[in-house]
Order: sequence, then structure tokens, then C-alpha cells
Amino acid sequence: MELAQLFPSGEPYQVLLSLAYLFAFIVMFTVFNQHFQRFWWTRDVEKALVKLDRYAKQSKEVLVKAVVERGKLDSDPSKMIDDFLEFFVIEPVDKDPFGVLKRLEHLLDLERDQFRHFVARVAPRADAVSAANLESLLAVAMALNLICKITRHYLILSKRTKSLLVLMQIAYSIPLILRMAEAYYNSLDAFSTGKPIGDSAGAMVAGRFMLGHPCIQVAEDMVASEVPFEGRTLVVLKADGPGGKVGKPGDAVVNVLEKYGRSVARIIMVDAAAKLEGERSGQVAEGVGAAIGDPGPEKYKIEEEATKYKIPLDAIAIKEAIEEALSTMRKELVDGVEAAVERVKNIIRTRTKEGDVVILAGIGNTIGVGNG
Amino acid sequence: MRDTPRPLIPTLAAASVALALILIALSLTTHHLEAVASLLFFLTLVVASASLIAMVSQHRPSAKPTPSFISVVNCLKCEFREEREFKEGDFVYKRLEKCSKCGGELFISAIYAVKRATES
Repeated sequence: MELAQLFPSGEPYQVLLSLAYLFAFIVMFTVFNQHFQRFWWTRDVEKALVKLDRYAKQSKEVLVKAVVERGKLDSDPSKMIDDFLEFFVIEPVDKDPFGVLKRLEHLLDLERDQFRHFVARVAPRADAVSAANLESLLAVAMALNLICKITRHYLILSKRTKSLLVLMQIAYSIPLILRMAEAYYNSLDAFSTGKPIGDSAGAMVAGRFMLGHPCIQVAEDMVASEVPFEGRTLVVLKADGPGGKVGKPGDAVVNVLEKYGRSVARIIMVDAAAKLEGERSGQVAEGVGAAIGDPGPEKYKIEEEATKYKIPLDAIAIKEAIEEALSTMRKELVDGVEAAVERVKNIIRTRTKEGDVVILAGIGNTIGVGNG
Repeated sequence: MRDTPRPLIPTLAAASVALALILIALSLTTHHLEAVASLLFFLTLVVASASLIAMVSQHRPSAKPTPSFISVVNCLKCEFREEREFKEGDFVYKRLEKCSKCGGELFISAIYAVKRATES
């Protein structure tokens, strides 16, 4: 078979056949090009959607099972859970940004209250730790439900409008969407059995210092311990564990500063942070600023107080991927916690003097991590 | 969105091989059937492409690592350290029984997941 045979020459039937080939190729690669592309993209999104749907359904099953087991319910809570999965929060208006963080904090408080009331309603006999874990499990099921619905929305929209632009955007976003959904899906086991997750790294560091010391509640879902350390006084803060809580570290820092005022020499914050691709999980990095990944209000309070009292703010980040942040803690992250504990000790030894008061805040979800 | 059935791939592959063989045989034995040969060539290309697509799109069962969960137990007083399987109710910094070596208090210092065996 030679290339020349594709071009018209020789016998009439050969010419016709060659022309037919040419026509077929031209039609295939010009007219039907976009149809082929649409077919492949739709197929990719549909395949992903099957997976997302499975994740959403399984997360609901796990949630229902956990609610029935922990809440010791006689009736089936599926209908109530189905209804609550559609719960939403409307973000505050930010065209006039004045006071937006206070309004956002108010809405976040309301959201948390709604979650608590719902869990108390569907699982009235669950203990405090189980109830906190059920709240986290509910949040995961809601996230998976939302991811599935949004993906399905764009797929159907692209089919109805025949918009390649919409289809292309959702098709190219699928790997990232699946990655996020898988991270949530993998967290189901940790949240249903109360194991520490990657995001608990900050709380684990704080808990290590609190070990053997009594703790008191200093803010909503936040506990503090006064810990003597080489002539200094550490005020160690973390969310009240071992249930799945993040607490309000901003309020805790404000309350502690009200008590100790200008005698606080330093605030050290430890949190899990998203690593960049190529970075090692469990790597510990140090910087300045408020190491906290909240939507804004808590971070704002800490920055505001540190600025008011002119207190240096140290940030220690334990690097991890988004999947690791939500799934059961891995050995690399436990090693990262050990390294962070040493880094905190080093900061205290080298940057504070005896007699100083230091605030150490372990930020993050404290699921599976007690108060030391 | 069903996975491509497995038997389709060997069938398509066998068909493309058979077509290719007929094509070679024709090109060696005759000089008057260029049109048939061309048609067969085109058909071979189509069948070979179809088998390639079917092969690529078939579901490959991935080797899934089975996670195992470890609770690390330490003593507050001595250097005692033990790793055991995670039990429901375990949490980090949970106080346990007394240390068999020094009588100090045992506690869980870490809980983590390890990927041990693989299953298909």
C-alpha cells in the first residue's frame, strides 16, 4: 500500500475510491470533530458521575448506620437525613465589606447550631464525642452530595444547551473534583470510628504539651492548660477532644490575652497546611502569621489581638496533601507532629526568656485526639 | 456507561489480525485486486482502532491497598513503647492501664494508618 494510491490516478474505480477516502477523512476530521470530542468528554464526565453518585450514596449509608448505632434509634432516620443534606448557608453580602467578618461569624455560628440541633434530634442518646463525630460525618455526606449534584448539573446543562464550553470546563475539572470527592470519601472511616485525621496534627502537637496537666474550657469547644516549661508558662490551647471539633481558637486567644495581657511574650500557632505537589508529607515549615485555615473570623481575631498587644506571632505548618488532611493520619504525619513539637520547644528556648508567658495554639479538627 | 465486555477485545484483535493476514496474502498473490485490498486495508484499520479503544476503555481492577490502623502505646515514666492494632474507643492521649515495667501510666501517643497487604 503506497501513499500515492490515496490520490486519484489510474482506473476510474480507483479514482472514485480514493475520492471517497478523502471525503470520508475530511468529513471525519472537520464536520464530526466536535461531535467526537463531545462524545469523549460526556463519557468522561458520566463515568466520573457514576463514581460521585456511589460516594454520595455510600456516605449517606455510613451516616445513617452511625446515627442508628450511636443514637440508639428505633426508627429509620433516612428521611430526616435526606432532608438535612440539602441544608445550605448563604454567604454574607460583601459589596459593603464593613463588618463582613462579624456577619460571617454569626452565620457560621448559626450553621454549627443547626448541625448540633439536628444531630441531637436524630441521635438523642449519642454521647458528646459521638455527637461531635456525627456532625463531622454529616458535613462529609453533605459535601459529597453537593459535589455530585453540581457535577450532574453541569453535565445536564451542557447536554441541554449543547454548549461545548460548559462541557469542556466540567470535563477538564473532573480529575480535581474526583480528587476532592475521594478525599471526603476516605474520611468516612475516620469520622465514623473516631480516628485522628491529617488535620488533627496541630491538635496533636498541643495535646503533647498538655499531657498530664489539667485543662479548663476557655471558649466554645476550646480547652486550655497551663504548662510549666523550662521556667516559662505555656498556655496551651486546642479544641476540646476527642470528638470531631475545631472550636473557636480566636475567642480562646482573646480570652487568654484578657487574663495575661502584656505578659504574653509570644503566640505560637501550629496547624496542618496544604503541601505543594512535590513536597514531602509531614515536612515542617516555619513562618510568621496566624496559622489557621478558617473562613476568616477566627484568624482575624488572632491577628487583631496580636497587633493590639504587639505580640510576635509564629506559625508552624505541618505539610500534607488534601487527601491526607481528611483521611486517617499517616505515619509520615505522626513523624511531622514529633518534628513540630521539637520546633515549638526550640522557638520557646531561643525566642523567649524565663518568666515569659507563651500561648501555644494547636489548630485543626481534634477528632481522635484527647486533651492530654 | 457500562464497562466494555472483556470477550470483545480478543475477538476484535483476532479479527484485525485475520484481516491483516488476508491483506498480506492478497498483496502477494494478485496484482488485480487493488480496490479489494484497499478496502480490506481500511477495514483492518477500523477493526484495529476499535480493539485498541476497547482495550484502553476496559475497566482494569486496581490493586487496592488494605489499610491497617495502629495505636502506639507509650509510658509516661519509662521508655516503654508498644504498637498494637487500633481498637474502637482508642484516641490519642487516652490513658490506659499501668505500665508493666515501671508502674507508670500508659497512654496512646499516636494512631495512624499503614498500608500493608494488597488485594485485587
